[in-house]
Amino acid sequence: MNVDINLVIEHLKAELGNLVYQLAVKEVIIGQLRKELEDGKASDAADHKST
Amino acid sequence: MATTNFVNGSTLSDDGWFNDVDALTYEGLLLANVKLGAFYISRAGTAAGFSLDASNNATLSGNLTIGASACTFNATNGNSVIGGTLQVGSTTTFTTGDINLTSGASILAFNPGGTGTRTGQIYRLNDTEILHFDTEGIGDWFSVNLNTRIITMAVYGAGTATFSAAGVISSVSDERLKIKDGVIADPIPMLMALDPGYFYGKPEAHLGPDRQLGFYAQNVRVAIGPEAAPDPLDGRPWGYFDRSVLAVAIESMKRHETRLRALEATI
Repeated sequence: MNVDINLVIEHLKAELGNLVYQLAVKEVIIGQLRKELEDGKASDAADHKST
Repeated sequence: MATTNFVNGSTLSDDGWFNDVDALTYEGLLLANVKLGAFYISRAGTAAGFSLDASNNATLSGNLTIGASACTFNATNGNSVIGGTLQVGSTTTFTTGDINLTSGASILAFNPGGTGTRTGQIYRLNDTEILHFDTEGIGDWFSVNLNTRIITMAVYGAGTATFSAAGVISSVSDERLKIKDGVIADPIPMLMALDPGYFYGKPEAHLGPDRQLGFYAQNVRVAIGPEAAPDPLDGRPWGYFDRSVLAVAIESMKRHETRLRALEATI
């Protein structure tokens, strides 16, 4: 079996690049979830106050 | 045909030529503790080769050129020293002992089945099938096991790296060899500053023709710091440590997990 080490290393780097990209997306999604939850809490509090 | 024997201590002066090649072809040339200067053995045609026995601490202080094909270089009894260039024919067989190359020395072997194109390949080692390069006294050796196809580097980053035939890269990262100096305080800014992307390598970079995905070392330097992408040596290209990026990724995942649990608790 012939293995091109450069190819293996480049593949690993590509996998790492993908991982970092996915984590960045995850970070944005977590931020949105947090904001939505906070907005929801604020809205609930406002509804509660108005009633 | 007579065998040509050189007894211990024999010295052939520079630019010696052996043109009576038939005598060498079938009877063999025994070199035991013989010093050769710039020395040439040539043979035309495709007749059977000869055996060059450089065992018993032979010293080749100059260049040795074996122009014939199908010859044997035997260095089984160790510590043969090559001070110049050993240049051999297309189907030369090496029977290995220790061959020590002095500074500036090299072995050039013709490509198997080639017709004189020097590729620098050594295609067969009869003994342990390990091609081993070492710098005496320093230990930064590098070896290729031709049986297992495993390449091992004694010094590679933080530890020993092994490249297996299955394409697995593993390396030693022994805690006992490290002095700990802190953890990543906040990996998220580092993560968000990393900017991986698709690219093509420029011809001079020898990265191949295909579109690739990865990082740019200068960006890694800005995002994570000099520990991940140290200053390059003079005139050398930038590089970065994959492990540093992986450490930031792992630490980011841990932070994400903690925050997701906190968010779930509020639902």
